[in-house]
Amino acid sequence: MLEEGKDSELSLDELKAELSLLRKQVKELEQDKDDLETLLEMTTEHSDTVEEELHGKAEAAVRESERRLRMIIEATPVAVVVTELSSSIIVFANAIAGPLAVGSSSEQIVGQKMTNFYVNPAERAALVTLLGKEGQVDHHEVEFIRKDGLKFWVDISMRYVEFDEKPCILAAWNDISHLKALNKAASRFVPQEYLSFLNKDSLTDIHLGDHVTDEMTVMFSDLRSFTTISENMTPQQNFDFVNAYLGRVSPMVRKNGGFIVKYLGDGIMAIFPGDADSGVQAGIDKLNQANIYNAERVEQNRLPIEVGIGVNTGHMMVGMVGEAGRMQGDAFSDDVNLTSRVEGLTKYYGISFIITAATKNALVDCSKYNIRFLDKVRVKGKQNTLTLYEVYDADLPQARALKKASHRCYELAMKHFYAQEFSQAQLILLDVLKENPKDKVAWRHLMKVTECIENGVNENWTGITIMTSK
Amino acid sequence: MEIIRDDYQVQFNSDNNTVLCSGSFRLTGSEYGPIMEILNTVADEQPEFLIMDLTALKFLNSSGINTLCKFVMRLRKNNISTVKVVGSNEFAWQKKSLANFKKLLPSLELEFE
Repeated sequence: MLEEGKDSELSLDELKAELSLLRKQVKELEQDKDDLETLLEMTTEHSDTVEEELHGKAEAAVRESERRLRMIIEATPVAVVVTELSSSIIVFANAIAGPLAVGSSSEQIVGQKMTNFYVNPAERAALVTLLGKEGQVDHHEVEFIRKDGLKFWVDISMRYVEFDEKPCILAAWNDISHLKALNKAASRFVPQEYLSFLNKDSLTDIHLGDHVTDEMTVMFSDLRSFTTISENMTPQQNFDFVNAYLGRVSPMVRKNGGFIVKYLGDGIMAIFPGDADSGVQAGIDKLNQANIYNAERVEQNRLPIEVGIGVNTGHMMVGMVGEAGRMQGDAFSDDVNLTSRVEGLTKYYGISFIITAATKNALVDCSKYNIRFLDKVRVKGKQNTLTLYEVYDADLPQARALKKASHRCYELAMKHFYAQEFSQAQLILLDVLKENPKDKVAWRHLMKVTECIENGVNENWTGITIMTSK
Repeated sequence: MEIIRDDYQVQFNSDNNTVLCSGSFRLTGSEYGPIMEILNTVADEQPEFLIMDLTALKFLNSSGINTLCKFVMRLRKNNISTVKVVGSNEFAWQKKSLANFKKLLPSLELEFE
């Protein structure tokens, strides 16, 4: 560079050299300027290229992520629906939700109110409240109704989600109609009452050996005339007949708070965990049902049926027996065995309904029923004496009235009998029978009394009837 | 001479006069300082020819392209005209951006594999 103030002192050659240097420097500067421009250009272009590429990649990633999410939601084998929190309007539904809810495509349910698909819309309100309280709703059973009227049960769960920047509810459900149907079917084999009695929520909780031990009332009932009636029936007629009978009398057990532990052919074994009265009332109701049935049968020129019922109260174990692969409800104890025998005695005495002293004593109000002393017996294979009573509430009106009229005399005769005052007993029984010749029990006692008079009794006489056959 | 990091690597192999840049360069301007130093040293050694292997260079930000441009300019300044840049077809941006090196050094040879 030239120094100031020395210009005039430079020679021509020096000036030429200086000029050449300056030209070179200008060239270099121009090159630098070009380079800088190129550099800027290249950097900018590169930035654009990379930015474009990254943007494309990001968009593709979002699209891919959306595609995968949609694929998962669409392939999920449960119905998924998103509803707006404020309006309960459906804003999204996967493919499976559509047909489930309306019998049409998922697009058609978008825009509709979710509440419309609840059989009971109040149930949805309750679920939303629960969601608000607990933050989540898991596995609630509700009934849905489709536009075509078809109702079905679902197992529904709910969560809060944000969808299109709005607070929404995501609900997912499974159709459990088949499960409900199965449960209903299963409950016909093991009734709900029996499950609750065993303190079980579900049939799946039932295990072999589950049982409850307590004082309960047990009832055995049997169709005494079954063999006679069924003799001339085809197998199908037999089934129809038994089911017609059981269909009429079984509900009486449930109605009175009992449950049927098992059917024994035409017989029924039922348990009443509550008071003894329920067992006695159920027996009366069953016999009344049989009476109605008989009236129909007689009208159709068919043989009437005869039902025998035995009821006893005592300690018993009620539970599940069998083997792991096949089990059923059962009840056992001496008192249960005895009840079966007591029921069998209805045939011997020619009456319908016998209860034991244990049941009579356990009655809350025995004056509600028409109960008269029947006999003191010792059944085969048992040592204890059993005092039995006849319940004649369900005798036909005329028979019941006659028994009621002679009730006191009859029981007085029995008192004389056990006091070995046989003649007095005989006289009274003859009076009873004069009024009511169809009183089979009175006839049986009269025969016994007469035998005692004719043959005499020894000093060990107790008057107890010994049953020599089961 | 080399800088080896998890996400990017710069190496000079004097046996075949090859500068290898690989990985993703997402550094800030000043962070390229050590890389620039290596590249300047290579350029100042006045090799007869030079190969830049960028086949494994996945990503290069603006400061990165700036650094490589400055290196090419230095090569030109040092009159090293036999320069070959090898890129990869796999990374779309390379085709566009590396071609611009020719503007700085017209004799530069570009190859993509």
